[in-house]
Amino acid sequence: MEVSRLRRKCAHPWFQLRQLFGVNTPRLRRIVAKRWLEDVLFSLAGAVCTLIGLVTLGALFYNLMHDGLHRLDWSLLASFPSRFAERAGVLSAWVGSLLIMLVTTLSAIPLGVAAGVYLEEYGKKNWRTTLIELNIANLAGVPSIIYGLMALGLFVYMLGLGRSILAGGLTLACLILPIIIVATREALRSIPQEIREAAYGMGASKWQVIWHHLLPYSTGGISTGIIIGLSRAIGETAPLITIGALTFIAFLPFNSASELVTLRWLDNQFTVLPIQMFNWVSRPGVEFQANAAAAGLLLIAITLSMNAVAIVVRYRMRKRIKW
Amino acid sequence: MSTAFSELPANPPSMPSEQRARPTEHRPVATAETSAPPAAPSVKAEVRDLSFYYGNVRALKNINLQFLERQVTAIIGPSGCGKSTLLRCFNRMHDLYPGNRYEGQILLQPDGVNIVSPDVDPIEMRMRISMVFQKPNPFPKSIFENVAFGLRLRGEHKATINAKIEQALRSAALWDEVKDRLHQPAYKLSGGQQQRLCIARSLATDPEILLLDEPTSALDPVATSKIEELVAELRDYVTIIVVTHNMQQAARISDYTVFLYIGELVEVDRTEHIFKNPANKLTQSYITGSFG
Repeated sequence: MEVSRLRRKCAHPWFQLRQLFGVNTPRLRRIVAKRWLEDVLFSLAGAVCTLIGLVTLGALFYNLMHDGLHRLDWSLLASFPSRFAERAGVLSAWVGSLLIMLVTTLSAIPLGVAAGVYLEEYGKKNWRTTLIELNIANLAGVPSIIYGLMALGLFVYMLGLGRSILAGGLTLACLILPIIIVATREALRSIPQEIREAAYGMGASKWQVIWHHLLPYSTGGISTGIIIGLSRAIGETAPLITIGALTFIAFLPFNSASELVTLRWLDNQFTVLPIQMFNWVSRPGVEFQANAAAAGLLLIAITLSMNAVAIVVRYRMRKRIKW
Repeated sequence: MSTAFSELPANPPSMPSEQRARPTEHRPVATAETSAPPAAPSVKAEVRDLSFYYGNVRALKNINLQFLERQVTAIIGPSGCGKSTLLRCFNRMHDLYPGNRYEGQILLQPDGVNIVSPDVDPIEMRMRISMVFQKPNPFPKSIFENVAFGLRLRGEHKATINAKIEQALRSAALWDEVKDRLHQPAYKLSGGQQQRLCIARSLATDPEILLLDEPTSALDPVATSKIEELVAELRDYVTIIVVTHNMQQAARISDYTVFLYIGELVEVDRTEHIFKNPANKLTQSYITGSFG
């Protein structure tokens, strides 16, 4: 057996070639060394590119901390804007942001999830749905100010909602709809077909399959998409300025808890954190710059914690559901 | 072979019509534990001139067949011969995908409803005929919820569900292994246990026909033999149609064997006949392993 294998090996053309030229170990080593060098160079280049991004972000964050950390306290959160920088705060802005987000969440989630479910589970695959899909993917990349223009025409004037919280929330909802739709579809698509067949095979209707199986199993992906969308929406300025959000507002949209319940605040005017920040940045004086930095820190904190929630949700759902 | 089998007359599946028309009562798995199988099995499902198309591809060509009540019928044949396609016609799985088309009839006895008729609601058929798939596919829920799903779809009460779950898990020979952890996720079970869970899920709703689509192809030999034992026990209570690529398995577990080749029915006979002296040359060469 050993002998016959050896004989076969010797008859192989590669072996004969090697016999002819001999094994060139130094040459092999040179080739290996060159490949090693390529590896090292590329990983260095990659590390530098990553660092550029990280360092920029870090510097920005450090700068904000340096300028604004001393202003970030309870009084900033509890005061209205003012002509005097040291008395000014973001109360109306963060309440506005919160209410806008509430409207956005409540309108974008049902619309986006329903649209995603329809496109993925009900819609027939033909050129029309393909066209819709393509456009939804494109919508996610449309500049946000275009949404502002659309909202100004549609919500503010045509539907007569005015420069209200309702109009602002709906505008941001339109902005993040594509994100939620795409996330919903991706989450549904990741459910194996065997699970669908198992559910249909038991005699479930389409709606029962969606309600009892597909939606529960895709909660992780969908809620991640929702949170990512919301954390984008909370930082948006341009579309809200376009529809006419105020830049200086020294009252809350509601006066009491009962007014909060009656939803009258939906019609009131508003401002949001990034607009307040923009307002302060554009003013002269170091004190206002400090205020702007503090508002920026607040925004970053909100966005980061929303993203953290998204990561936790995704991780927990992944652990709970295995195919 | 079990005693139940030896009592049966050795008639081929094509039977005279008066026998076919004999009324049969459907016995649910749960209540039939003591009753003996009938002397002469009646027809449970009758395939007439069935053709099936995936778009323009004709995957089944004029199949004519009868499946007898409370018998195990194995469908064998080389890959791509249409075994699974035929099986999936029975609970209209093909309706889930666009471009599929049935021609002909599958009459489900005793009421003679044509399973593949466009006028018949596929959901109704799936409620009467349940299916176990090639790969174990439990829902990512608890063991309890997996078995309960079909019952919940039927709007059963809580007490009924609890009782039926135990019966179904016992019928699937899984009860003793899972009774203490019914509320644990199903994916923690082994592959073989998962497949038996899928069988329990199908049995919980008292199906008239149990379809098994290569139920052991993803399992190891030990788990496979457990499933085979299970089929031997279940044959007295439910009509079973099993697709298998494993001829030894077909010989072990089935009463009748159907041999398909490129979408056509080549031969159908008592399993012992078809494996000892097949009438068709093609069957013989497949069974002896000359091809496939």
